[in-house]
Amino acid sequence: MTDTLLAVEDLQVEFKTSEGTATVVDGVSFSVNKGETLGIVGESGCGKSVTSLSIMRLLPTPPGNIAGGRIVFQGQNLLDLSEHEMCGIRGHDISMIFQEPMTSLNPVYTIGQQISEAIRAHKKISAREARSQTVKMLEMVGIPEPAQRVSNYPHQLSGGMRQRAMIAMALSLTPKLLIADEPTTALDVTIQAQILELMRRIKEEMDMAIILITHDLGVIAEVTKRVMVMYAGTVVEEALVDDLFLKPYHPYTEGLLASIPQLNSTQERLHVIEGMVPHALQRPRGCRFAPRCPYAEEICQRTEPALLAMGGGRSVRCWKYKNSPQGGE
Amino acid sequence: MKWFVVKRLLISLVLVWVVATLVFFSLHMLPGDPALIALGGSEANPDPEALAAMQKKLGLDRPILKQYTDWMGNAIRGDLGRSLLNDRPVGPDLRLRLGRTLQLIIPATILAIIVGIPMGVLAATHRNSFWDPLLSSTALLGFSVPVFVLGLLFVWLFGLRLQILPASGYVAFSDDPIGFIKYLTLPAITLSFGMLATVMRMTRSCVLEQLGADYVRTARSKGLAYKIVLYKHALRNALLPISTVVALQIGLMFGGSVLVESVYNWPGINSFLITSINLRDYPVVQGVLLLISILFIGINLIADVTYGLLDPKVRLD
Ligand SMILES: Nc1ncnc2c1ncn2[C@@H]1O[C@H](COP(=O)(O)OP(=O)(O)OP(=O)(O)O)[C@@H](O)[C@H]1O
Ligand SMILES: [Mg+2]
Repeated sequence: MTDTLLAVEDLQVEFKTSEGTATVVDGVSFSVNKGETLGIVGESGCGKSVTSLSIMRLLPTPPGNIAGGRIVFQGQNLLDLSEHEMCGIRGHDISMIFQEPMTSLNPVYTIGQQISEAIRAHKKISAREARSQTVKMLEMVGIPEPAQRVSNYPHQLSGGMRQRAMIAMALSLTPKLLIADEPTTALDVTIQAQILELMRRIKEEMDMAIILITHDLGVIAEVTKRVMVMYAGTVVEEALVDDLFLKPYHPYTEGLLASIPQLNSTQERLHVIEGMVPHALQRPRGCRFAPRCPYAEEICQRTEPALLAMGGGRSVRCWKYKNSPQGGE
Repeated sequence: MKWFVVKRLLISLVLVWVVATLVFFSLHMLPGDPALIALGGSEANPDPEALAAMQKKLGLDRPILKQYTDWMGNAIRGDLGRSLLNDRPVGPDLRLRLGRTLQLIIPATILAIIVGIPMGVLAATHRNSFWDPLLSSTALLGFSVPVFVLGLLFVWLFGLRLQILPASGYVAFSDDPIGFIKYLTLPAITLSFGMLATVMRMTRSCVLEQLGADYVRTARSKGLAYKIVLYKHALRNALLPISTVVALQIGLMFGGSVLVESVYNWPGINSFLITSINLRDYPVVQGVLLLISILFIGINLIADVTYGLLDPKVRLD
């Protein structure tokens, strides 16, 4: 267990709203080893961003609140740290890139100023030195003419370039863990592919653990080895990507896979999972996916299943597997 | 940015000309003849020959268009003419009176900014403590109490009851610096109140809005301390809309200074204007209004340029 970098244990996150307290992340556990990549997928609103912001301790509090669990990073529970100690970890040991490259950079400072600022927050070096490191970072993430681009403002860059600048900023102190929250969702397809290619290169060149969050299983397949599927605030399945694509266990995963467009298939319509994610305040009593599940049985409506270890690093939260703990039907 | 400034400058010049022209003609449309007033008014019933002679002396017998071009021509050369009342040149008096009004407006503006912005930030960052409601309701009071009520209250409380500051009047700074500050304190505070309240409310809402922005989350994810994120990132962006509001408020302050000058007997440009209007002293009134409009338009120009300097999107255009 010595190479576990991050272990999230039974994380509970609540949001206070005018209609009541919603538990939007409910008992999520997972771990990431040093240098490993983990994908997290799930529909919009299932709690992916809330989970990652909790790791950074950047939830908007209030209304958000971490109600329980532990987030152990390098043997230390981040939830016990002071805000000051957290500042030493953010950007230095754990970095994050966000979905919106348009708004995630400060419009009144150049990208160079913003990246240098990150470096100088953690390293006692001169402004000039920070600038030359910034240029190197920009070059590494594939921004052409980095020496000129360093003094550009965000509005002078395209969306793809901005996201590269964000990545350069996140990597500038070679963190041990990079959390990428839908880094390609807001970009068009060709740029998306370039950014994913960049992420893959980073993974290889810098020995860094990555958590890649997306609602697109196709993106996961490109970059990560292991994947965790979330539904309505809980983990419903965890597996190696190859195994998952070969044979999804959870009916929800099955639906997600069926809804990836296949270029070589003759299928005319894309599969869609019927229905909507239940609202955090009106969750069904039994399995959260039961109302939308084609296999739902009587027990599914009554009691929520536990996450069941299936061997080979796989686990699934579904009543189908109650009597076959070794996997398969 | 260069073109931006040049364009704004040209527009400002045109605006000043339009305002000056409007002022000139609307003034001459006012009932009341300065020559008649100079001779003691209609009650004195001066004989028509004396009236005609007076009109000729004051240059009022020329056709109105001629009067306009003469005045405009001289004004462009910096000569605003002489007072119809006492034949003193308008320019120096104007400078003196304007100076005194600015001695009121500039400290009031500085006070409003250096107190209003920190109060707004405090209210924004302490939304869940007693600070925010306390500061916000004080600001509401600042909005809703009229300047002259506040002025009279201050005169009564500090000038008459507590007698710690003079109730009204003016001494020049060059004559008595300490006395000047004593006389300045109450009127400047009175004048700054409305702007202070506005700047505070604006700062509060802008900072709150900016604190929820994505780039603030990015800044925090870099490991920056909250204070740095607040001031260097959120407040810096909030300054854009705040600067616009400040400029608008300086304009409003000229209006407020009319009342403040009269409550505190401050011999500024407003009292000068009011006496001159009553006497139909055309050159003085025209001069004052021309100056005020240049100031007004100039302040807006400065505000635009400041905004441009603060916002890279405009600056680099
Ligand atoms: N500031 C907030 N106030 C109230 N509820 C919130 C807030 N932020 C998130 N939530 C709730 O938490 C739940 C999970 O949100 P989260 O942003 O983690 O979803 P997500 O999986 O990242 O979705 P997406 O794919 O849209 O980014 C949602 O149901 C949302 O309503
Ligand atoms: Mg999200």
